[in-house]
Amino acid sequence: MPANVLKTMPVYINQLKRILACWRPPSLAAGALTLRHRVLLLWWLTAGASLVTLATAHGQNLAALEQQAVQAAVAQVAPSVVAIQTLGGQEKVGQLLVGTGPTTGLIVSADGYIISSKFNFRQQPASILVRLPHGPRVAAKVVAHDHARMLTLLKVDAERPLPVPIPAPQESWQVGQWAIAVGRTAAEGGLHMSAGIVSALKRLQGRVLQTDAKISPNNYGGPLINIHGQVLGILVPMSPQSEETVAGVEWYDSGIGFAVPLSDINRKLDLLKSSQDLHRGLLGIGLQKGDPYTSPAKISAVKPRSPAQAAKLETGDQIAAVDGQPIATQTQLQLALGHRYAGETVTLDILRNDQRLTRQVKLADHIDATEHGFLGILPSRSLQDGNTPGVAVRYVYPNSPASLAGIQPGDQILTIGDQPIGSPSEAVATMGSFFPGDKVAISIKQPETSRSLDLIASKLPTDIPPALPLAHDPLESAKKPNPLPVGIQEIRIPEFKNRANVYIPSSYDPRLAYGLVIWLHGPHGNPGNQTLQQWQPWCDQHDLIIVAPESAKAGQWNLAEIEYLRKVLDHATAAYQIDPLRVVAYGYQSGGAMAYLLSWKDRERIRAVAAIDAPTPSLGKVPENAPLQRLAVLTTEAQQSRFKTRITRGIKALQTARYPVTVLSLGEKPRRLNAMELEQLVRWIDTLDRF
Amino acid sequence: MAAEPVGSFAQVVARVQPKVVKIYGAGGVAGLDAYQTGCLVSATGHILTVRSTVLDTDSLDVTLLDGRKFSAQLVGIAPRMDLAMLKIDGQDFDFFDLSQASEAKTGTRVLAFSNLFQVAQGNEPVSVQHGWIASNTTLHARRGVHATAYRGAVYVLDTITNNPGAAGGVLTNQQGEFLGLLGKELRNALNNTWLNYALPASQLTAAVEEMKSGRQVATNDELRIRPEQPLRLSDLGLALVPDILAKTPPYVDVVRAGSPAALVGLRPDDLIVFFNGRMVQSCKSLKSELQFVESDAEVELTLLRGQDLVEVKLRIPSEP
Repeated sequence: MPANVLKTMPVYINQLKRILACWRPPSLAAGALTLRHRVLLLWWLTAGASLVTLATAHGQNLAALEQQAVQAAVAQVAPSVVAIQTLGGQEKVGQLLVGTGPTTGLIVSADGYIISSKFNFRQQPASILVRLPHGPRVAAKVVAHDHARMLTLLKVDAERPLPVPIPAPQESWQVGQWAIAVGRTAAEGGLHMSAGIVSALKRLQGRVLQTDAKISPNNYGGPLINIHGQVLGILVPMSPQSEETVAGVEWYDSGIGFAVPLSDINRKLDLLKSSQDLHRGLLGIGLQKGDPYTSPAKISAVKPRSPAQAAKLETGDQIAAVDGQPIATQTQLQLALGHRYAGETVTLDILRNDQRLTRQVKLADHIDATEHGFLGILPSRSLQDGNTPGVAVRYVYPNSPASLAGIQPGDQILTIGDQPIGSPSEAVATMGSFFPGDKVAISIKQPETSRSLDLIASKLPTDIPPALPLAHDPLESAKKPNPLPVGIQEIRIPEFKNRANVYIPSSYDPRLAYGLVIWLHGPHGNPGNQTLQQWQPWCDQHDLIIVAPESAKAGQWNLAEIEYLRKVLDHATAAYQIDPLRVVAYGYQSGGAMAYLLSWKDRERIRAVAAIDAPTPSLGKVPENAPLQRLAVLTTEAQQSRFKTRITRGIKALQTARYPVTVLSLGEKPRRLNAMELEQLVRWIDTLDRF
Repeated sequence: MAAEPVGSFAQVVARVQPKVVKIYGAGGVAGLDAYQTGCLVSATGHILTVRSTVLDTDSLDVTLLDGRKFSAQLVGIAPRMDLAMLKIDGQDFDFFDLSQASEAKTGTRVLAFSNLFQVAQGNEPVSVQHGWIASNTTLHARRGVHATAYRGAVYVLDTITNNPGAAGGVLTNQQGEFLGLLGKELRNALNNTWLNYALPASQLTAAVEEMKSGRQVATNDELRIRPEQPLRLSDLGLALVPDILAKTPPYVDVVRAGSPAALVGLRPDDLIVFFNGRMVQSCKSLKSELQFVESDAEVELTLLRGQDLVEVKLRIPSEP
């Protein structure tokens, strides 16, 4: 009966029982717990006694008992906790100065392997020294990193076997149990400890457990132990927002600390010992929008060249189970996959059109960012009568794959990669699955012959062609009169007090699709109408509609106005025939930053950003490139621009994300575009349906 | 004992609170706080606290637990430890007898009493925090910590005492015995974290007695003396790699044949990791260490050669 009762005891009583069991009275004469004490203890436990009676009956203050237990636990693990010193390396990592003090590591095998936090080596030191518990200082080398759990494995040559700590059995972990953080960062190799409890298990996609002990550079790399001195995990800085090595340090000593379970580390120790770096396992899917806690894990996009694509997952598939464990929500999927490593194979159950399929997927350590392949063709924008198959070539980029293969203006592109092509949109969408360097099979109709050929895709161009033939033959306006008013019109969105004007070309013909430019003014008010008038001839000539909204507060855009801008775009796309390949956000300075932001919030719609003397917004990251959401960027550089460094950094970030970035030089002083540069901008917009 | 749950510190706290005082002085502008904490160390009204800008005024006020307000006089300071002694007039105050103070090791449960953020007003008791002694160690002030001349023993705490107004507060063990005085706000430059610490009683007693007797405690400056002719590496016969990085590791570049360095077997590509027992992490820090060494002194070097640590001792031979 006692055993059964003990099992049902509250956690804390069990905890106390363990404390008492391992507690030894300080004087030798008293010896271990007497039999009488033990009998008494069992009696109280089975009777459901409170902590109060337990400790008082023992003639000891509970707090004092706990203190002794904590000290004993620290002493138990101490021989395995080592001090690490580093030499050389960078002075700063990111914005943070690297300290020069000692850091901590934990011995994980008797032959000299030591696990520590990757944070402790962020400065990439020239040399690493470890002070072993029995005294000598020895040189250490980095064996491998676990990038998924922010750990580093070191190796030292040990003359004798090193003391390996005991891991806390995973089934014993409980929220609320004692958790003591141990570092070896005090002077002369002294210990540093902080006591708290386990706050949560399986945090950050199941990679770490959480504690309220004070976790900081004073103990990163050291163990988090239980009241018996057994190791729960290794302390690391970590953040739900970022995978950077230094992320999470801002939470030091806050009562939110993380530890990677030692049992997880031990499972991968042999791999790490073989010098293999470990990475997070990636699948390569996007999930459909919705509340992650309630929405099913339905795939919205499958990344090209990802494990998901290799396993033939498709948009619309719902992931119903991972390794047999049912998945009802997106959060559950993240929890099931977030702690897996690259190279591991998972079994996914997929629901597709009422069918249940099973797929094996081998997770990857990285997935190449999407970069759109390019053939070198600018299509004609003739009226789509549905009778002629294919897309006519308007212009062939010099030295492009198409030009090298002898494709000429006037040729018809019939298929790309076996897909029949009926419009420029279809051609661009099909090219979304080809990266630069890929072989692309196409078939074309030329005046004399039809033929198939293989092209090697190149990158999207960033140069603007010098001059272009017209996009289509002049239309016979008599055939389909236009019922809509043309010229400058006002757009009003009911719930917003902002105003917007739009220019509709006098020749507007609903049988054609028009490019849409949204002009976002800079900090000095809104010369909106002036811009509209300036753009009229270009709009008429190149089938463009330009809309110029105003910020509610003169000259000052507010982030919340992104919603308003999206409504303006909704209105324009509903009212007029808009070419989805040529929707451009165009702005000057703060308006340019707003243009970037609008494009990031409305990836489905915006195909290009023209940002004049404008930095990429400091909020949020440059979004990932996506196969079906091409984005081209035109920006400017000026020596004396006050945004110069941010613009340069932004260009780099956009290029790294594999977006085509066209940079116009404004010379010394930042300014608006002059007439010649505006002509270039218009010509650039005119090429956005290239493929 | 009957009313107090075991594991509660209520009675201990009740015993300590009458000995802790709230101090109000100069400040309140330019981000300077006008308040801090102190503790009674004699029955006749001696109050131990930290030396700070708060005390830079002729009208210092002290408020006791019971709400009584006193004008205080500054009677002594200990510059090196940044301590100050105040005195209020009266008799029979409850106080800490520092000669009876206790000591504690790493992993001891502690209570910290202070008026952090001036939360307590009038007769309200100061705030009590519970935590542990994270380490019983020494402040490496010489290069580790900003803005303090003190570099002796400290209790580093795992409770966050590093707050405005907390300095001068009291650290006790769970029996309510005085362990130390909460220190001023400090940042640990060894790892750029804020330091939560207290000065142990053993370090305080001498200064407290001096200050109580009204004597100014002499500045016991431990700054190392710079010799007029410090040692140069070239005198030893070695040159380091060019110092081109922010933290160039101090690798030996050249060893002159026949020089003291050559005689003890130094080689190019040896990395100097310790100089006279102090870790040197860059060419710069090695050069600054040299500033404190007489040109004819023997020096100890620890070298990293491949994966081996090698220790050598060398000096310039005296002129014949």
